[in-house]
Amino acid sequence: MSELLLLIGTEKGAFTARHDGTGWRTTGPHLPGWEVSALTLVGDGRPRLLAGTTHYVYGATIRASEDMGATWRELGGSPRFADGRGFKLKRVWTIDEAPSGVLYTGVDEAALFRSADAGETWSEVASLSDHPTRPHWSPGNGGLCLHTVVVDPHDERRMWVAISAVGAFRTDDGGETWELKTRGLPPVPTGGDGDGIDRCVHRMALDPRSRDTLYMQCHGGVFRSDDAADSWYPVETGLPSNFGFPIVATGPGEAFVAPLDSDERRFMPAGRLRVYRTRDGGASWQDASRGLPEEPQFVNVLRGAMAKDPADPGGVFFGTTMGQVYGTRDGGESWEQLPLQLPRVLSVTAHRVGA
Amino acid sequence: MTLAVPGLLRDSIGGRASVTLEAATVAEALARLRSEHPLLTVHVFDEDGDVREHVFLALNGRSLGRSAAVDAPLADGDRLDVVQAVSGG
Repeated sequence: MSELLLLIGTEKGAFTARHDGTGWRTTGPHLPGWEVSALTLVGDGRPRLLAGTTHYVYGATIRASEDMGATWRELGGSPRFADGRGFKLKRVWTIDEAPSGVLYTGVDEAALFRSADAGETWSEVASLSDHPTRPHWSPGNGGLCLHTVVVDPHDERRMWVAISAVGAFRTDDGGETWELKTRGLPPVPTGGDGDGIDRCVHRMALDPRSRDTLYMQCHGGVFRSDDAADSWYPVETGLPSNFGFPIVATGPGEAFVAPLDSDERRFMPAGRLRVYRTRDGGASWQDASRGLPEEPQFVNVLRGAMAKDPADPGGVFFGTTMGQVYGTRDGGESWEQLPLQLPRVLSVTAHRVGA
Repeated sequence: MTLAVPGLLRDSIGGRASVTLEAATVAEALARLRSEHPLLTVHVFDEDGDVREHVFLALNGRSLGRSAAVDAPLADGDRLDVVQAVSGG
């Protein structure tokens, strides 16, 4: 029997919340003082926590724990640009494991790193960093960040990544070549003049049952692709706003978003904490917030702070910029608040571990 | 001489608060730091090899400035601190 484990990265450390079927047990802070900008569990035989630890003074590296957070070790082979590359590693945005166990991390300044040894050492996927459009890449409010990595579980040679405020890219050959995939997405005014770039993707998710269907929360709307990102079209009917950050695809045609008032007012519309769910592939969205607070909540949910249960399509969890964490285990029919009040939540991932 | 780090960086030097470096000048101490403590080096220096923008080094409590006064001689008992520059708040 497996237990649900939430890993929560915050502005001032990491926390865990484990549900054994009867209630939550929480631990933390782990790595107190570090901005835990990415946090995940990797490995089947020997589970290992990997944390992207960032600090505005001391830079960014990755730390690992083999004992579920009791002790940590900074990895000497953390992502690092080679001498002469001309880039600086400012933040670790995401750490993702492909089904084969290969790991990817997206960082600021925008680059993708790959590890084939459980995170001990990382190498830059330079084919992406050196994409011909690179001279035209412009940062978004969060920096020039590669924040989303999606690996096709049926064919790991195919991957998508998203960079703000640049766009989405796809590789079909394991990262040797990358194509810009922004057709149908609106540009943002970065001041750049690149053709097809200046698209500020906020988050992207692959439909669990269709390897060609993706959903995207973009700066300029919510979009869907039916052709593996070759083209995108808006799917916003029923949403109170098309601006937000996270998007999570939970089942065939089912996804969740957390709309904000607007770009200028990055809090929930009218201060009401609400999430929206589609069950028809984005054709329509409905409020799916029963159990969330009724009192004013002028908060945001950041792009990495919403996750799905890998073993239960009804499980969705998210953390807010005011440090509350909420979860549903019935597909959004009812929500509960977890018993902890944290620093600003940057990252939430959900995992299954042995009881 | 002794090189001391803030609490956040202790795990970069094996959980200790400081390390001993055999060096006659600050420049030598920084070279030792780079060769003997690569985890700490990443947090003190940026990709260009410069001291990070919001870090400064203090010799016996006095800032060495952005240039890190690399020729400054060291004596037994000297202490070099890695300090987070206060920049706001």
